[in-house]
Amino acid sequence: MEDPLGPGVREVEHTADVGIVVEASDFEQLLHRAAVGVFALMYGKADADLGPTDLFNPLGTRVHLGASDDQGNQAGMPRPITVVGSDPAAILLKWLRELLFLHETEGLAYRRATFDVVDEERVSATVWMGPEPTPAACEFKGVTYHDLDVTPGVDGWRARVILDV
Amino acid sequence: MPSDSTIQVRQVDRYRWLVPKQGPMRVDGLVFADRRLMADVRGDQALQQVVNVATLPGIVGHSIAMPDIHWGYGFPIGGVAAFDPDEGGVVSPGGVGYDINCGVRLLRSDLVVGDIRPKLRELMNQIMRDVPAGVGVGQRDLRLGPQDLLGVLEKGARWAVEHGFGVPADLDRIESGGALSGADTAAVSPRALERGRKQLGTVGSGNHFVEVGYVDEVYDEHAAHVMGLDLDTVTVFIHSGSRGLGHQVCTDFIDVMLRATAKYGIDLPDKQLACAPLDSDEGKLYLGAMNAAANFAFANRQVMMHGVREAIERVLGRSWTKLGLDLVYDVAHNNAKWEEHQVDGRRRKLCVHRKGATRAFPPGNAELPAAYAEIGQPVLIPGDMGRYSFVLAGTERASQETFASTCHGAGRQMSRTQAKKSVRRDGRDLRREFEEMGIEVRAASFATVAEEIPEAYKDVADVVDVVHQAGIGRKVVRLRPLGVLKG
Repeated sequence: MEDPLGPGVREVEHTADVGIVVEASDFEQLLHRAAVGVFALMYGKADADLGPTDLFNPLGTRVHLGASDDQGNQAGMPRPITVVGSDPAAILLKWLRELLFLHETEGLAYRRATFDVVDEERVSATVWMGPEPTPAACEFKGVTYHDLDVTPGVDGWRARVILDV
Repeated sequence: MPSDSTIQVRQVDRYRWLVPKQGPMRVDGLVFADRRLMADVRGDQALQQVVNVATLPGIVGHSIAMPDIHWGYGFPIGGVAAFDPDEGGVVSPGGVGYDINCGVRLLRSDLVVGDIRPKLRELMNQIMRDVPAGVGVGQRDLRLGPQDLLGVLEKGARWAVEHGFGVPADLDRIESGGALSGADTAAVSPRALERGRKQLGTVGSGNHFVEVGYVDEVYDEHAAHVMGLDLDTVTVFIHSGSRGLGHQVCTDFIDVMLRATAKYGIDLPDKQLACAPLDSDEGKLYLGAMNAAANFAFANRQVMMHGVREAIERVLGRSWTKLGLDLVYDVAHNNAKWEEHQVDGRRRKLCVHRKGATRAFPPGNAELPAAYAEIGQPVLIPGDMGRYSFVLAGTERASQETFASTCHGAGRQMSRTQAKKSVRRDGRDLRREFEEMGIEVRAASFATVAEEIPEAYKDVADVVDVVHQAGIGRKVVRLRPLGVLKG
């Protein structure tokens, strides 16, 4: 069965918030997989079987915050992102923060990225975002340092991230 | 899920548990819970977080946990801690949370259940139209220019009233008059401003809501009457916070505080407790930005309330003033505030952090509106969306033991994942379940409702009974839901 949060990503239990564990062959893949996993969680990709999204929304009312409202649909436009940090954990946290900021201000979801620079203190990438057909099911207020762990190993990288809901 | 079975705990009485100083703790921990709730508390990392908070510099009294405590990040949710600047006390964004000044407000009305029940479906649809909810959802008609936004950050709910969202009398019924002094708008980043620009008057997502309900049980008739909450009275609960603006302020300052932690040589057991001395530049800057975000939250709930009043006017065809839709109170449960409290026999000015805990001033407190001077501050405790919520009053004992604080809600007992698994496993028809309970539910997404099913939360009656029996809150009324709009 296909992993609903994307390859190498699984959700971990947290009483109040949401966490993921990500495994990847290298740091670049870890960043991509974490982004895919976070947006899959936000858009309820694992919850499609729960019930019709609009079951409790008979009016279908929603007003997007995104750029598409007042500046035209900018989906597909590449966006440069650069983050610097003291270690891989800080890089991952800031990478996800950047993507969530773009999501909240433009209403677009992560699609893919090409990475120009990837090391343990700096990442420079071009990111493509796009609209989702259904509204996001949850909002992540922040990416936390709580239990944040990014570890290189013999077989690749592993990360654990908790997001505030 | 990791648990805290190795932490020493000593039962003090039926509702109090002491966590004696151990390791680097500077003060004891104090948990309010009965035996059953305490077993829940020990089931995850919440107790460890009580211990962690007790290690922070300048903490005085106890590291306190309310009976709705659960595992958060940094501070536990349901945590209270006070810091003395004269003892090197600190301020920590992790002790406030991402949703700065998140809180609840309660409206009462002259309506009774029979007046509203026949129009409930129409009313919930109208509230859904007038009070935007959900992720990535902003206000269609209220997009703030730069000067407006600065006005919101400086004036809080007063800005909203000055712009036609409510009346001056509302301000008297809001904690701190609906505006914290000392807001430093220059300390709020452009990103935070951008995130807040379109979000004033919106519910957000997660556990935020607008709930139409009614008083179904009265415990203290006099206090209930003073609050306008006689039996059968229709009410509206509103729960939201500072939205993306507050989230960004927290994000920005955790990084500032991590640098400050290193600069001031503070040892942390959890990075999310990053902090700075209250009298440092970093500490002052955070408090200035936090106060500004808190004012956004007060204004947000004020604008939301205006939307609710207009929705009810449209559906019932009478003005809200004629319907007696008055604000009972608005109280926050995520902030850090300067307050004076008695500790170790002397009055001290302390920075009280409440993260998922409610301020609960006793009768006679100078900040309370005249109407509540005799009964104490209304304390609003929402439960889950299927059972009930409570209104309490602040007590003198809370003033003595908990820096005038009490619980803030039911507290989750199931993770969101577990809640959805439960819905999926049992093939539940949630819409029918709520219809059978007589509750009209509206939500931007199905998953939100699945995550917020009643059993995902502790029974708020158990939580409230602990604070009532322990004397750190006094039950006034219970409210039952009729219609719920979830974020």
